[in-house]
Amino acid sequence: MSWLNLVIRYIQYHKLKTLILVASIFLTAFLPITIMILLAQFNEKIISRAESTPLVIGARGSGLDLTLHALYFTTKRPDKIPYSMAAEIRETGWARPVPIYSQFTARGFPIVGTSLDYFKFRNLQLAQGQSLSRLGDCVLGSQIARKLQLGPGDRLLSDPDNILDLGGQYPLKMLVRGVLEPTSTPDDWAVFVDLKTTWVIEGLGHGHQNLAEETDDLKVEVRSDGTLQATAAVLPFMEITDSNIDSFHFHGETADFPVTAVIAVAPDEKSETLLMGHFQAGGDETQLVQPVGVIEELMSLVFQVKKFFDLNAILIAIATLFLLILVLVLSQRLRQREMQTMFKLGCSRGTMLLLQLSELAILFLFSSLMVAVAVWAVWILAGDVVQSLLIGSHG
Amino acid sequence: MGKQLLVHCVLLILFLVSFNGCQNGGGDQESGSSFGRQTRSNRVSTVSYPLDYMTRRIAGDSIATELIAPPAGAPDQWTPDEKQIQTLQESDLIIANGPGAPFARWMVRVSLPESRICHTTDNLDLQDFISVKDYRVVHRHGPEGEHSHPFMVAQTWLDPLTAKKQAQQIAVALETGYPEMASVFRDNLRGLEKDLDGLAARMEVIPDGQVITSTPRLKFLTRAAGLEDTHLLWFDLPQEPSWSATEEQDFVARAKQSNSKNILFDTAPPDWLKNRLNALGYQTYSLNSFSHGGLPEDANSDFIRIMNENLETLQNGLSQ
Repeated sequence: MSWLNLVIRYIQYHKLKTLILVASIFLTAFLPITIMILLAQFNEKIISRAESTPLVIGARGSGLDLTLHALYFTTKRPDKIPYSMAAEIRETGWARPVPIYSQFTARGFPIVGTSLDYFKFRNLQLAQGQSLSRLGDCVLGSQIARKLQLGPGDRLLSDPDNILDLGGQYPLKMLVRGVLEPTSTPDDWAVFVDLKTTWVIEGLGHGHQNLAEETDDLKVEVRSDGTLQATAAVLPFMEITDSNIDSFHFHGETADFPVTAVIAVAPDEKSETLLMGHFQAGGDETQLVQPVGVIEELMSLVFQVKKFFDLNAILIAIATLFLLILVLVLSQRLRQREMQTMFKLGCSRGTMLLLQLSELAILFLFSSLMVAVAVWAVWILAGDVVQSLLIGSHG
Repeated sequence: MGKQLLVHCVLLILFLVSFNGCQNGGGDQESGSSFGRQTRSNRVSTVSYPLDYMTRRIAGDSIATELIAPPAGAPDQWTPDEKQIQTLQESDLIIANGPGAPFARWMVRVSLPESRICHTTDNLDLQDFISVKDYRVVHRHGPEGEHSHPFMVAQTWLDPLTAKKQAQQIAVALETGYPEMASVFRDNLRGLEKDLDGLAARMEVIPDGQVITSTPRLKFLTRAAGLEDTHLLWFDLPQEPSWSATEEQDFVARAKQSNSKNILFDTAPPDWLKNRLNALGYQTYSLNSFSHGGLPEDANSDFIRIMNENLETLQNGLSQ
């Protein structure tokens, strides 16, 4: 095996050349394979999430924005619709409404206001603690709990809507009641609260001291008609506790309060069709979208673009092949004296060919190994990468 | 060497299988929580006594019914405890009023499975609801600035025909939830409807006239009885005398809008107020509007009996 020793010595001596050739082969193979894996994972994840969400109702506008918001709680917030839309869906008897109001964040993660039906709909199970019980409670997705090191009994503060708006809403300190099992979906990256808790964060509901018992003139003014007027000195509670929960209340009809989307869970295709007809014939304020249709449309566009990438990859592969041939031909010329010496030493032409082919084989073998390792790593990480792409910058 | 490797492999597989089994066991325990609950509990929760009475009458003994309401003497602003919230979350159905006649305002402070809430006022017509325009809570929140909302009267059950519509809605919800018992529910509903029709018939013989009511809470009763009603806004009556001259003048001015000298209270008025009103020439009568939501004080009494007592009091008072 002295010829193999010679090959290895040659490769070791020409480090730069070897490195360039290996890198060329590696990149030519690795990039298209990586794109293929990421796209396959992306397609699988986004389609499966869309398939598990039959219908979404929201404000008229971009159907894609609405779908991505309802599925991934994206930070691009669609317009609001009244909560009465959920009642309208329920009254048709064709579907079960699951409202979503995702307008605020807590330490950068989306706060998703919904009803307990959402957990049943997505089949979310608790890993620790208990479910939502009352205003101010929250349940964390597994990744948030891990990242923020929070568990049942801890508190999490909602982010102020605008830090420059000193007169804006007060943040709410929420009580972490439970942590969900990991699901490898955007639910792992969401802070779930009761819909009414998001209305409290928005300022539509609040708790404060009993004004009738307040004697401080700075806090309460008596109007000319005898009614009490709270002044700005009366601060709403920023944390909902056993001692102040009874004072929390909403002014107005909750039916008029906002939500950003309503998922309609229809039991069968007939009900789904009837509901679609109902909303298509409805007003100009709302729209009903089928997430699968919207996502498939998006993916067909993505796959159209991918065709250009595929063509590009083929052209790069051909160019790389030509480059390799050129390098080999040039190195053949440079090595002519070396070959003559070996010939004079008694080396046959067959052995010399074997030496050169072995060099090439080792380069390809080494590049293939690197590609295999890198693809394996991509395969492992692709799920998380795709997930973080889908949920934006939260992760 | 090969044998040893085989043994290690088998042990490793056994360990992994048992570890996975433990994890699954843990998951099953958690499935007892409100998340992902798939099975029926054969339990229905209600949020006020009249709704509880109607539900029990319709459901009979086949379904367990639990009333979640403030205990006697609890403040108006009351919130159920953890155990009660869990009961609500685990119920197959939660029987409540609904938008337009919101009762049990604590419901906005707890997390409930919305799809299992039966809004008994859903099948009421718009004209069935009562809105009080002169009692408005002026406030400011969110970007909207200062505004107010009218007071919606919640005691729908005081009108027997409205209560009948609510009972029908309860029956529909029960039939949907427990289709195998639909015929039982329908039979029981017929009995309840007969009793409510009986109350409605009694209302018709009450002479037309005018009354003053202490709060708008009695409006469903007075409307059903065909009475012209001038309401006061005496929601919280102090037990100790605390009537200023201005307040008395305000009352007299308001009471003059009615020709009636009869004031109906939805709870027993304190003695000092009763005496003061008597001195001013007004007669007071106490009715039960079930506004507290809890069970009646007299365990032997029930909704129909108390409504009959209300009508008797009303009839006697107006006949004088």
